[in-house]
Amino acid sequence: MNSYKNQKAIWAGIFLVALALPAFIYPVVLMNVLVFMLFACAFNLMLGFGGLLSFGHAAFFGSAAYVTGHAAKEWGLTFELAVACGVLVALALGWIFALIAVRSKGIYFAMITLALSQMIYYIALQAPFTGGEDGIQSIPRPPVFGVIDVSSNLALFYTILVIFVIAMLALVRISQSAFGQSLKAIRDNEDRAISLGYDVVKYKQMAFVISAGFSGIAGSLKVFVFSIATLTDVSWLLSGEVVLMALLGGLGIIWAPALGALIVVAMQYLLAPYGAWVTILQGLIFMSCVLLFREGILGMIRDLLNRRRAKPSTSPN
Amino acid sequence: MSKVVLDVSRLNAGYGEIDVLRDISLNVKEHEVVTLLGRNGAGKTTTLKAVAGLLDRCQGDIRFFDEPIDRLPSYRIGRKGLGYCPEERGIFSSLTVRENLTLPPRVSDLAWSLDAIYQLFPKLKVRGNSMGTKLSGGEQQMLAIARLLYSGARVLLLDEPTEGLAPVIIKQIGQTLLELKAKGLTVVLVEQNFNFALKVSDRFYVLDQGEVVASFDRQYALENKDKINQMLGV
Amino acid sequence: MFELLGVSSHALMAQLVLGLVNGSFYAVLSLGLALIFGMLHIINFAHGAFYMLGGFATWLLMQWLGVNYWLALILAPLMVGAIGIALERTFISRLYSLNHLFGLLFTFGLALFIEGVMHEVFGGISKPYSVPAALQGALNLGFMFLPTYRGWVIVFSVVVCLITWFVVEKTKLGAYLRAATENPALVQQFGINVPLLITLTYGAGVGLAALSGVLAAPLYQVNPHMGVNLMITVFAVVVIGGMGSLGGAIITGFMLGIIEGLTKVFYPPASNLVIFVVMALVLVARPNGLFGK
Repeated sequence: MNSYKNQKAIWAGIFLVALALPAFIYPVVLMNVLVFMLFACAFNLMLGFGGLLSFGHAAFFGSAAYVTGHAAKEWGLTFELAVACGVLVALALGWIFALIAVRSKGIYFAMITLALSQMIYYIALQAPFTGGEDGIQSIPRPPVFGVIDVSSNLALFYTILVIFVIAMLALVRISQSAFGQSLKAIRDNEDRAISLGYDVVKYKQMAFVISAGFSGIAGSLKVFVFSIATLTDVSWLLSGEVVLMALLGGLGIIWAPALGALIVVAMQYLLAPYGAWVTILQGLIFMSCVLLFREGILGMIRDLLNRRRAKPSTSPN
Repeated sequence: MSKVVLDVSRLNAGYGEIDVLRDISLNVKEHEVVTLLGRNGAGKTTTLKAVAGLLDRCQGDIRFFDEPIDRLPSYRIGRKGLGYCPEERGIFSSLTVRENLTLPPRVSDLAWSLDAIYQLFPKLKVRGNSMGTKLSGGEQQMLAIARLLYSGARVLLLDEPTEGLAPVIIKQIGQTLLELKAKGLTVVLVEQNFNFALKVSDRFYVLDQGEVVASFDRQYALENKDKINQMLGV
Repeated sequence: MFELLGVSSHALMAQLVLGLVNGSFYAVLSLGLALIFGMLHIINFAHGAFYMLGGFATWLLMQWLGVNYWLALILAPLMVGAIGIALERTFISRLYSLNHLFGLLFTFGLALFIEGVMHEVFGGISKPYSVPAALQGALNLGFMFLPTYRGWVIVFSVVVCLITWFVVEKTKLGAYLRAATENPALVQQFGINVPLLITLTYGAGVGLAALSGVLAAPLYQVNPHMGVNLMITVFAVVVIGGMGSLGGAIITGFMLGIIEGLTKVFYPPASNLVIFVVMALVLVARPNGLFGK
């Protein structure tokens, strides 16, 4: 139980550090990182736990972004109501995608989610309320619950940090619950799960919807950080990026992709002036991860720790 | 004294991280039919696969017509005239019977002509344009053997050719094997059906838990049927 | 000449032709994908990048070496196919023992990399490529004027599809391929160099993509992103057809091109979406596609 207390202490420490970070880094940058950390971890519920590779998660992120942006700008809803609208749409979309895709396996599943997401992209391109190529701009920051003012970046950062922590705790809880364990069982050996009586389709659908919902939270929050919702938010590039984040961070633990998100977002900031180099580098990282680092950063850390312990029979796994 | 065409010495082989076979040694002489007997999981199929070059883990000395083949990739072994027929027979469903039959490259001048093959297996000519897996189990087994004859294999490794087949068909296969033996082929069989093996084989090896536990010739087998059946757990 | 639901026959015919042109690309590209998937069990996400490289090779051959379109039809697929073969030998072959999803991820990264590099080197602006002289103008078919180049694209694509289908289904080499798809270990034991076969198949699939790129150069102009959105539509086509058969891929490609063309005539806002909608509908009824196993 010592390690459990240590873990809690470490997380508490990280949280305290996070509270202090705006003193060193622009809050907008921090919020950007938080949003994508959440997105990547939401995605991981499907990939790491469900074994389902979705190449269309931008559909949930982006549609929530558009709806939240529209709700805040055109309907004048308060912060939390606007976010709720976005998340509801993401949940509904996740449910629809699941209906269509969930009976297909592996590679088919990936292609179907990609295609469905592209469909959303084309709808977003043409629908009147999305603003087409320009997107929805100048999205306001309405007060939370009508009273908490988040117009300053600092206030918004702390708000998003709180929401992030709650969402992550929820994700961790879900991943450790019976549901999460069942998902893993299905991922490891679907036929066996079926023979044990699991309604595999239902589990996959649930995973899809939950993952879509949390992705929707991320998308909704993003819109308040940057005040815009654009086609980039529903593009296949974004879908690919979140896959990269998960792959890079590692799939074994629900929160490992957050590490990947940190690196990918940092990379984007560093390489921003260099245009296509972001894409080139992402491509290289993808390929290296697949060939060399399939367990991601998490795997590399695990290997380091195992070697340090130098007693392979007692190393946890 | 006919020469040894297949000589396996101290073979250790298996799958993944595990060795299934332990120090297997056996040999096969030209024009012989040798049968590997044993219970399920004894290592008979693994032995055939190791010889054919299909296993990742394979250590030991395997000589085919005095040439070492244990380090060779499977396609080189095939080209030397070692023909392998897996338990599932390996008939391709997306190829016609004729395409299945003529698929292997002809690796020696012992390769049978299509006419000779059709004489031995007339059904294959009739069903030439059907898709391979539309044939019955017995016909597929004939096709698998015919395919090896087409390639000119000098030694045939057959894994449970009678499995799942009706007694009438089993009899036909037995007769076919005897004819092939008369025509100069060498056959290594894996069989659970001891009675069938008794009708066609010259010598036997019994495997248990990855080791050779007994070897005897046909004479001995005929005189000690009960003892052998007991050994096989029948 | 006649009117159907408020659309003139000229407009209808013109859109059908465009639909067939699009269908040609869908067919040839999904054919290459199905070929690669059958043998390697990898979805070649980089297929669109190779298509784009085919287009660039065509343009570069003209720009740097003054090589004309007709030679490019032969050279570009060979050059790009060679690149594909090199990639298969060095990297892709390492993926065969892994979960198939890793193949998808790797080729996705490869696609990003190739597109990024081409964008860096050549910029994002389209390079013009003129229609070769022999194929300029239009043919008077009586009921419509058919732009010659478009007719060429359709006819040539059909021929390429038929030749590919014939080689795979009716020749000895094709028998090797079909057998190796089913049971590579056994085919190898017979004495056939299966790894070589796999490499060549990847090269052929990539070559087909590049060939499409050559055809596309005078039509769509050449730029580093010409393959991306096309590929996602091709994925939908492949899912609809199911990856079981080459014939299925070809038929589905042309069919969907026509459906898309017709949608553009009768209900333009849906033309981008119709293929995806068809995909969703087909999947509900048949999760493995129309011709899938």
